[in-house]
Amino acid sequence: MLDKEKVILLVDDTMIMREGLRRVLASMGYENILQAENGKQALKIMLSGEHDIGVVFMDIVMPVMDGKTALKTLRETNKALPVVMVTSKADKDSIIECSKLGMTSYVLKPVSAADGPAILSDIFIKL
Amino acid sequence: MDITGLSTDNIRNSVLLPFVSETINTMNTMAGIKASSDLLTYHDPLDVFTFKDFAVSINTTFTNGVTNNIVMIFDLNTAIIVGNQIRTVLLGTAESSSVLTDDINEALAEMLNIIIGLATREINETNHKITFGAPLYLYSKEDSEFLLQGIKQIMTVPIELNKIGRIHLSYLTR
Repeated sequence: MLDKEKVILLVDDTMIMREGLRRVLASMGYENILQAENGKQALKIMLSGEHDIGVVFMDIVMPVMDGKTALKTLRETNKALPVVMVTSKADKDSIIECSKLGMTSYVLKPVSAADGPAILSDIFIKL
Repeated sequence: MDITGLSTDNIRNSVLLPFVSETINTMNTMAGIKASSDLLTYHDPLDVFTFKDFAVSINTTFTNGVTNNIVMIFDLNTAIIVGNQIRTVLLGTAESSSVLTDDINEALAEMLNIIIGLATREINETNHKITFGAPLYLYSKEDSEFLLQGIKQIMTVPIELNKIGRIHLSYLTR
């Protein structure tokens, strides 16, 4: 199970998706949350070395830099940091592509307040 | 396969049905709202386009360059209720707004993005050669008037939202 002291990075261009995940994580006792609006901001945080990040939840379709590009860039220097892609079931091709790029797991949108804790617990057990 | 020359029945089955069925599915998963449409059973689409208070339009472009539009139309009250419901499902919040705030707009936009993604995937899997543009959000009748320029045919499908109201999905053909 993911250590509750670790930082969790949420990357999504829409506030409601970040806030939804943040609330689910808070309900599970994970309070150390950082947020980014695109892959570029996320890379800056991930590569800075300033935060003890335990897992990253990253949207695939985002402006400025998408999740696939951010994942690919991250994996050039860091193959260990768990990255969970967040996407809709419409984007099956991207999930396969991200799998090849080294994603750890994925969750399908929407992650609801009711179902979110069970979905994320399943992922955290495997980390 | 190029569907520019397809009949009303084929456009209904090839384009409208995927949008209607994914709207019904997504209303349930993202907003907990049960929705239904007679299009899925037997009724023909209506030939009217009426802007209410809020709409989202997507360009659909065929291989010959002809651009049609799919427009989802909400009245203000329905948009607010649906937006509040999405926020309840995603955020677990009981707070609700009585006006169309930025938060409500963002909730609706996220749901519509998901509907568009699911429907376009379904349509493209049938090998129709259509490309879909980014969603354009419209907040007034004046904003929507350009959509009717050069339109030859309108097909509008009502979608009933249980105990809430009705939204309309229009397909505008040039």
